[in-house]
Amino acid sequence: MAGTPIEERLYDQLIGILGKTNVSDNDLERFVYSGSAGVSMPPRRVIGEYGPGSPPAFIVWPETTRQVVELVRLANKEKIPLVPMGGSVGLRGGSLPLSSNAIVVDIKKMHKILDIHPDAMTITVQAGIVRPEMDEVLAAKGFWFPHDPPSHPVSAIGGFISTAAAGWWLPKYGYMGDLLLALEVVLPTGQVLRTKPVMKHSVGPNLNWLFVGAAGTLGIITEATLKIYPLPEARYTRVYTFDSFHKAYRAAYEINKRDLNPYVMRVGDDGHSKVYLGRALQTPELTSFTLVVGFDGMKEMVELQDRLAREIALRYGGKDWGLELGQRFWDTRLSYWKQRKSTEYSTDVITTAATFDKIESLYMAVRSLYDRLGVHFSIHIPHFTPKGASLYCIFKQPVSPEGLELNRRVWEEGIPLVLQHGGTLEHHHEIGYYLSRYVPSELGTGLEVLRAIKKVLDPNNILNPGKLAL
Amino acid sequence: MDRLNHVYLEIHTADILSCNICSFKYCRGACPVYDIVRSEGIAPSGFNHYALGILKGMIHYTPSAAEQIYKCTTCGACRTDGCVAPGFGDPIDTPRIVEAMRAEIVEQGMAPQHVRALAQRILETGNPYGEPPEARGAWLSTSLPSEKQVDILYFMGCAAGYKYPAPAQAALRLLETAGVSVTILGNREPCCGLTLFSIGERKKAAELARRNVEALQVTGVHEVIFSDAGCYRAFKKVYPEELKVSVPFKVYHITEYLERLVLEDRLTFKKKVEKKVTYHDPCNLSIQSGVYNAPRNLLGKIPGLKYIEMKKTRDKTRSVGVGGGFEFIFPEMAKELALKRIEEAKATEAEILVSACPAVEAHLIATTLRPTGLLIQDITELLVEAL
Repeated sequence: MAGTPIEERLYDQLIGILGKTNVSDNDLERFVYSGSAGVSMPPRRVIGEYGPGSPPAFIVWPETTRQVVELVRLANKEKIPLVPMGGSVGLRGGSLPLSSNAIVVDIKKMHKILDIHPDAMTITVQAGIVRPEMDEVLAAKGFWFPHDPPSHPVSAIGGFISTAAAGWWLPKYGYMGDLLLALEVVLPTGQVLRTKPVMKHSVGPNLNWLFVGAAGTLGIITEATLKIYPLPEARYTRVYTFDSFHKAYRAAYEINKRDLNPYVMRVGDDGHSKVYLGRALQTPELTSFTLVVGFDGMKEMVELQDRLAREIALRYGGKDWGLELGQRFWDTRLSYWKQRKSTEYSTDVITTAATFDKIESLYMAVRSLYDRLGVHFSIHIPHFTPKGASLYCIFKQPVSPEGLELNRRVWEEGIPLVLQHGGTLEHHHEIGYYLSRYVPSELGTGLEVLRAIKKVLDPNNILNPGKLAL
Repeated sequence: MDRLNHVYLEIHTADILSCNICSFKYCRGACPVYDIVRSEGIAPSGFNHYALGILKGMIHYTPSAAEQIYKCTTCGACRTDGCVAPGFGDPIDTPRIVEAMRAEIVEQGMAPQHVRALAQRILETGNPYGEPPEARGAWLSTSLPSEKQVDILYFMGCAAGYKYPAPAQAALRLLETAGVSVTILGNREPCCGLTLFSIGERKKAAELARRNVEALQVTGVHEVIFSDAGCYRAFKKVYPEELKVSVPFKVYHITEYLERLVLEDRLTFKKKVEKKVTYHDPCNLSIQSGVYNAPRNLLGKIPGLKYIEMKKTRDKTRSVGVGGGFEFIFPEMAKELALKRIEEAKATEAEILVSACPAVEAHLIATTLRPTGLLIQDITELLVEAL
């Protein structure tokens, strides 16, 4: 591809920095990188629309921070857009290159474990590492890293941070940002920022949080120090069914209010139970409203937590399906979101979060919208935290021009509805490219603050331009 | 879609569309080449993205771009690990989609030069190594019966024929011990053509398959035993299913045949082999042909042997880089894959890594010229030790 003299010069410079095997200008590879990110796209892709993604000029795979620094300096000097990419499962096009001169910076070759510190209970890794590469090494030392979004087998740590990712076990262990102690970030001008691995400081704002959810627009994360936990001695999980969403939700609310500290707590509506939970657990009898709640840690403590939670669930009319099914939930958790080999339908999802007082009205509002628009749907609450809960509102559309029109209507009507009911624009995945247009209504003046920060840090706007409304 | 130009690919249209709707692409976590290259462009999902672009006429095969489509060992690990939710049918068969694209690349005259050179080498010399045909099986003794005397043929394959004869010698010894008389074609034995098929030379592979079947029919044998997992897969699956060449004799992998002999008490292992052993499932034998238990059952019959499974095993086996012509087209990457597998074997603390395919073992041995503290053998060699 590197055909013009400018492209050839750039190609040589990139090879000089990264080595020949870490630079590609292959036409097919560039084609894949023009659309591999952003799962809102595939329905469009399969009917022949490829969205706004542009084949990048080059794809590069740095292996060291030094290479990233040199790359960023080159891009800044030449004013070339850099698009950082991890596992590309943010679902909203966060790592789509939007111009033909862009360089995609795929960080997945930066996958070394740099340090495991059992006394500090931390691990320091390069940002391109994926969880399975950490799991075995940690387990051998009696630890685990409990950030467990369903994408974890293929998502990079840097991507988790850049999308402020939410894992299934966050009720107890927190979000990706909560598990972060320190970062190494290459700033858009080539300087390297290293934060200190301390639990908290009072020396101005904690700069780690500037990069959590920043979609790679403010810097390229190259290393991270993360909190690790000892492997739990016991893990008890149960599935309960209820005859209404209200009862399932109130039981979960009560468990949360009593501070029982579950590692998982999920409430599903009837659609979720039938289409996802029941199928993953191979228990088709799960057709009503469900609560999955589990505890991990020391056995005696877990037994007590499980008993108290069970009492609450039964008091709200829950039917207990037993610990065996709960264990199956743990074992089959990755089966939820595997593809279903459909070429006729695809799914999309509005995700939101709010304080507890707003959750039921948000649920009813979204359910009514989906009913009115005639889309198949399933809604569940994947997480409870001490501060509130999230809602995951899946809808299904035909893979056709009509389906895409339906998809557009759901978003156009759904987001104002969610915002009006006090929910956030996006809780789970990312804003990326596709949801950027809604950012002003969510952030208000906050967007001006973000833009000012972006301008100071990235005067030439080279890092992931067009994402996050920046 | 330009159907006329995509006769091979359009058969897979539903799978290609389906893969392109998938959110997470867990297949990437199973792909051994992705593990080392870390590019979306060689992930199973990436190949299906190419396939969709090609079917939609958005991209086209060119020799330089086509090289990407050869960066797949066609091992099939992507088929088994995390592709489709339970109850929703078979996983996407990405290796078949890759092979279909390669067939179109070849027919459009777009194959990269080193792929064309490999095809030419196989056609000219009858083996992918380019060794002289007359040297095939030069290690053979002349005491084997002729094909007129027996109705079982032992097919050694190119790797045992030229590079690593020990598995074939051990197989013949075991068969002889069990009183099974076999014949062998020696330097008249043809190449099975699996590599030709894998790199997209469909027509030439089909022609070779027809000639091979005819040649074997002429001998009058009724059963053919293979040591090489690739040759076995060629006759068992690729000839009838992909090349539409029926195979009118029974085909066995040596491990299947030996397992039968053990069950019939015609073969017993009495000598203790007090060693720690792990087993690598060759992808052509395991994922592609469904043989998982026979090798393990045989190892279980060796007294004193301590068997340890590797972490990635059975249908989650990790390709060592032999399949799909990979070792010949991308030797450096194939070496890297082999070293990864050796590291996994060493992690079990086994002393011996056995497999059941001379091509795999030849590649592993060639990769580890320096001592690694791990002995690499064919399963038959270990079985001979236990006789």
